Amino acid sequence: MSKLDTYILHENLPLLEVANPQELDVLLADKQAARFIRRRLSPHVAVIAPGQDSTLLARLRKLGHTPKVLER
Amino acid sequence: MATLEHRFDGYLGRLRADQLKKMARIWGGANKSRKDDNLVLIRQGLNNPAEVRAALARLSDLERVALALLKQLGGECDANALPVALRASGYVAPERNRYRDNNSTLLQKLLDRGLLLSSYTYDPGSLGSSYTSPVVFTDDRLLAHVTWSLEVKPVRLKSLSPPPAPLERRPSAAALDVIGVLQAIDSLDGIGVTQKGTLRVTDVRKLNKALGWGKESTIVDGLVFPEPATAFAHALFHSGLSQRRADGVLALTTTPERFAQLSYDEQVRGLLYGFTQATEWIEWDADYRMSYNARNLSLARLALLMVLTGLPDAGDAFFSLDALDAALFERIGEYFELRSSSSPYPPYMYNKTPAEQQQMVQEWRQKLREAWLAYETRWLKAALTTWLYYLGIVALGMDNGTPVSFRLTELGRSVLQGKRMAAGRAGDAAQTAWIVQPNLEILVYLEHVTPEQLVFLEQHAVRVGAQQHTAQYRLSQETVYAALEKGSTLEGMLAALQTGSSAPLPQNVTVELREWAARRERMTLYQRARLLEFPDAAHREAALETGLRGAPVGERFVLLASAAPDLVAHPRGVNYAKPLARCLAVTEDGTVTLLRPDVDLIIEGELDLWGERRDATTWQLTVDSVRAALRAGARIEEALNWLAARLTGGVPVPPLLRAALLAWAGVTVQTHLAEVAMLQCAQREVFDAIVGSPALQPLLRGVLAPDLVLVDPAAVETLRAHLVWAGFDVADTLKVKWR
Repeated sequence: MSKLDTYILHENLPLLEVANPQELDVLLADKQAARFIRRRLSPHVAVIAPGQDSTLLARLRKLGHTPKVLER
Repeated sequence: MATLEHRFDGYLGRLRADQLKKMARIWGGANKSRKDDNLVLIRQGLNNPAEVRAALARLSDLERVALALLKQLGGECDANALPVALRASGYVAPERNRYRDNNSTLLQKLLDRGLLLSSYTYDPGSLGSSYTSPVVFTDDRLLAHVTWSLEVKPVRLKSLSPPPAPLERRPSAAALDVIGVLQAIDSLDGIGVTQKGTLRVTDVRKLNKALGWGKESTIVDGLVFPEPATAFAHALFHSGLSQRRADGVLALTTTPERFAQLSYDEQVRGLLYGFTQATEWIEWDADYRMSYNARNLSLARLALLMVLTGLPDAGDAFFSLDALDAALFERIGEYFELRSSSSPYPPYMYNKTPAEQQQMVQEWRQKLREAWLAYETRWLKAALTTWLYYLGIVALGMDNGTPVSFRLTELGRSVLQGKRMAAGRAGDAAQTAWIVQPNLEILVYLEHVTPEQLVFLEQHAVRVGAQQHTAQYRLSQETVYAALEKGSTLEGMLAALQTGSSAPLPQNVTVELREWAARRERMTLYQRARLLEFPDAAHREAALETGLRGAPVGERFVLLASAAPDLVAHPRGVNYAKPLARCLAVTEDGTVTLLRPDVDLIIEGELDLWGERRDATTWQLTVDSVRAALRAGARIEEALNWLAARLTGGVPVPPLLRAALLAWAGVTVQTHLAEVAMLQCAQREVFDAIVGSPALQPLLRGVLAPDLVLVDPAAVETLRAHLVWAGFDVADTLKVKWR
């Protein structure tokens, strides 16, 4: 890990990962879900607003999703 | 629920010398021993297990009952309740002197024997006055060697043939309900208690809703159980299964899962004695409004348990409820009334012949019995049809909706008489106990289900019904998802379902469960992920090649595996659990400038949420952008807090922008703007003369300042003419100083 001094470590960052990028597209089109999504890092992964993961989870459940919730 | 420290040592110093002398006898003390010597003797005795065992071996039947009962009650008991319960044991001979407080006398003997102390502050060796209502307790070092079960004098009742269709709850049905109550309370994170000590109404409502209980009562096998939420909340507390947290909430001291690991009789025993202490609740329904002394409820319940403990072993035979009632009256009827805080007072028999005395006592007993039949008998029936039936202790023979006969169930005999049950032990091997149907419903045979299987069902399915012999559960995506989130695995779930099922699982059920589990795998919410950001793809690849454990994300990121070792935070690291960097500047027209691009991964998303992007570092807060965020569910306070947290230098949000944001969010701000005419005169005397003039007042609209008055725009020239007439200079401009 000789190049590790070049990294930035983001800690305690809420993330959402989807198997199918279209699911993230659909979430971003849902205004009530999208307001918790701060940045899309890749087709599959988005950054969630810190402290809002529980509220987003409730919205996801309302939309019919059953996400696996991991502490880290 | 213990309220005292159950060790005598801290109390002994407050006892009188004569009391210590009596207490020391059980430890070999002599009449001539001094106070200090007796103190040492008692302490040494209590600290020496061999001496404790020897002392306990010399106890009378009554003393053995007292200690066995206290052990069931957690080491302490209301001083009024214990003597009544002991009388119900049948080991107390009727007193000749009926004018004394015989209940206190009975208890005092146990205090003098050194088996009990009281919470009476000034003299723990006595009960104090009738107003002190102390608690009596024993020493844990004595209780540690109380290995015998509660044994009472046999109660002679004639056995009856079993009724045609008795009501009986299987142990699994009782356990299932209790576990359900625990799970509901656990899900609610406890039940709040108000400062007055009553249960929080909203929590009671939630509990009733979760368990399908009515506000006033619930029905179990056709029997009314009044105010079940109140009953269980207090019974759980008094049994030690819940305790009061610092925030006043009654929270469980165990988990439903751990509780379910206990055998059926262990589950029920603690709760049974918790019910005896739950004087906040009464068995009668709300329509029956006869007064009672709440503290007496625990006396009556304990006495009833004692009499039930003394029932003969008659197999499946039943007993008349009237006969039980008579037996209970026989043992405690002369010393106890639900309505009164004192024992019934016997007739005054001074100067009466023995024959007259006998006649008077008979008449007194007859009156007591008549009052008992109208009152205590009703309570007895209610006790049998509520908590004793609900917990599976008694089976009932009914006649037209009224209990007329009863017997102890196998569980009741196990709990009260120490006759171990044949089944229902913790650790019983899982067995076939249900049928899983294609419609995802599970029909459970309560006779065969083990406690562990009940917990499995409660965790993975929702209970939709329960009868005397069966219960129905339903699997749903919701319940399966919740179970997986709590740590269950798909394969474990399928295996447990199959093990308990008497037939192969329907194929569609297996498919459905697998689909639900797979759906959960399609989306993952990381609550506190660790993400490494690299300047470019090449740096990231190099890091991965050197063994960095994680999954690549996009071109420059790596999502670290949860098991990856902690890294030393880089100076530029960002911890999203802490306040984030101040990096914004804002003007009062709503122009926001990002002063440190790439400060973290969320700042641009936050800016995009509330503003319109103008260029790489500039956003504009507009009425449209703000309202769009609000329509998506955000609140304006979030925007104000976010700006306050992100503005550099800790400067506040400009007040005009703040007011504008609030107005854009719908806060009404009323302003008035118009072209006006004003007259100014710095000479106070002249100004007062003008505004006080009857001729000029109709031309004026109101004084704004000590030298400034608002003029009717249509009357400017008329006013000017008056001022000129008066010889005043009239300039066309005002002299204004900016505040």
